Amino acid sequence: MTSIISACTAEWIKMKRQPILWISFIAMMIGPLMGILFMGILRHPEWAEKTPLLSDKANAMAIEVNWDSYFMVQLQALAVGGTLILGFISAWIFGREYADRTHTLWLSVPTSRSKIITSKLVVLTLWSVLLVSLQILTTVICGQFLGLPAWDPGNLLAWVTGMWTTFILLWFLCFPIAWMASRGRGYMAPLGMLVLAIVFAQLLGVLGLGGWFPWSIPAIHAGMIEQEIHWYQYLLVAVTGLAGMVGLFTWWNQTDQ
Amino acid sequence: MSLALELSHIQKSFGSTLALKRLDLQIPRGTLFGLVGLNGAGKTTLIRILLGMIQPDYGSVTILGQNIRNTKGPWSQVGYLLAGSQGYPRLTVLENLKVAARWRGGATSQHIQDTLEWVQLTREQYTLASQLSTGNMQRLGLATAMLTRPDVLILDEPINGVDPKGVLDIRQLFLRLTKEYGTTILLSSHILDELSRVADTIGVIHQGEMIQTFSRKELDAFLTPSLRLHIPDWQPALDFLQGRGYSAIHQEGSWILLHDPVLAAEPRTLIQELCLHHHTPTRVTAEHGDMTQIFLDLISPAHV
Repeated sequence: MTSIISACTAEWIKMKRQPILWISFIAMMIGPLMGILFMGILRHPEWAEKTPLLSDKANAMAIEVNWDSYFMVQLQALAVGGTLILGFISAWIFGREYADRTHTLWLSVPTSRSKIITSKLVVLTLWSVLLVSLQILTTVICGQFLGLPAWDPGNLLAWVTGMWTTFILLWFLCFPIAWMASRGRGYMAPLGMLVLAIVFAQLLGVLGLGGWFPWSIPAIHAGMIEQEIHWYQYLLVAVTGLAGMVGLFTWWNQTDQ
Repeated sequence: MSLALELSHIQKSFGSTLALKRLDLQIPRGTLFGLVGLNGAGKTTLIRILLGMIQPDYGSVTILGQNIRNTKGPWSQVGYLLAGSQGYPRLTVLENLKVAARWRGGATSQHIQDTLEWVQLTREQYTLASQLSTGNMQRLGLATAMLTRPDVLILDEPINGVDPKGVLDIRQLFLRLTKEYGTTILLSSHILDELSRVADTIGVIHQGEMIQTFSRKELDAFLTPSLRLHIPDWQPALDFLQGRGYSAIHQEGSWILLHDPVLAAEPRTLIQELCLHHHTPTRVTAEHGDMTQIFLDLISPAHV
């Protein structure tokens, strides 16, 4: 346990110096801020008098101005933005080691490779949890600031639950990206995989086959794609994640480095 | 003497390329073993196999009596530096060592400061690794390797890019580590002259095979300035010289070699003596030992 905590501390020392930390924070805030902006424009049309383009865009979204719609926009922002941002962080954490040739620094040390990989995943998880928490907090504070109507604690609870369940789905999908970053020995391969996954998620979603593609499922869960979702489709995400995790640990423990 | 490192029948291929061919190596504790070879000779593969980063196709690796495949590994007693991988560029020198201390355990803040002093990086401890010179980056890699005072150090090209004073400091550090602390060092380097000054043994690896090893005694003999005499009737001359107590040996043709730095510097008296006894040399050359030449001779196609 001590060595896991030590390894996590080492990962945090490394992570806090990485630009990805602040880039991911800014990127994670873009979706919510856009949602807040559009909702604000719809609620207070006088804000966008001088920028008709923004006003038109907000009106084109055809959403009602209330807490429920506002929460829905934020949940969808997480489903799409989160896939990209969490995938990017995973690619960075694992791929950067190869790009900098620093992975060899921890391959033959008393702390096992599995523990160091676990510590990377712990830091990835904690940072992602922090990002989602910030999104939730920003959303609620800004919603209050906008004075949105129809506040309902029940809706808030359902939305927060939806945010965290979407996060769990996204978290599972980080593992195949982390595996690809290791397998591809850098961050180009996982970023390519991420882009492809997002493209296929959209495409299969449109074709009504999204329920069978793991990267479409968070969007279906968040209500972006109107499609019924079953328990085995959640299982598909979990199995994909676990397969990525097994691949990740096997790669680092068994493959020549 | 007990062994610190032992490789038995190590073989490794990458696809159709045989990188190491049934290689055996034994390094006693408290000694410095120098590994030389051309690029692609198998040095880095050998080092990575020793560190458990690459699995050999055949053979076993034992470090400090532990087979690295069957145990959790003796990594708490092993420090290493691989070429091109000295530290995290976005971290300061101090942060790099703190990270290494977390992974290695047992290294206190005092250890870190002492190590920085050993490698003379105390002033640069708050500098980002990406801003260090090549030489200081090597020092950082060395500091990481030595952080927990390991019994075994495995170092790949540790003096590349280091300035002459730095090379001297590192040489003294290696000598101190082996002689005072009993550390075993495996050192791979292209700087043969430097290696021949510090190594107890040098191994020449070529095309995946350890083609020659030189003990310290052999190295001293090779590197001592010597005098070469060409004497057509060499046998009586050799008997004469040996009879006078000179360490003379016969070489190819009619050459006689004397390993003696004094004679190499001032051969006149000896030549006069030889002439007086009718063993007149037709050619005389003074030679200085050159490790690079020895190495090149060894790997030349004629030799291999």
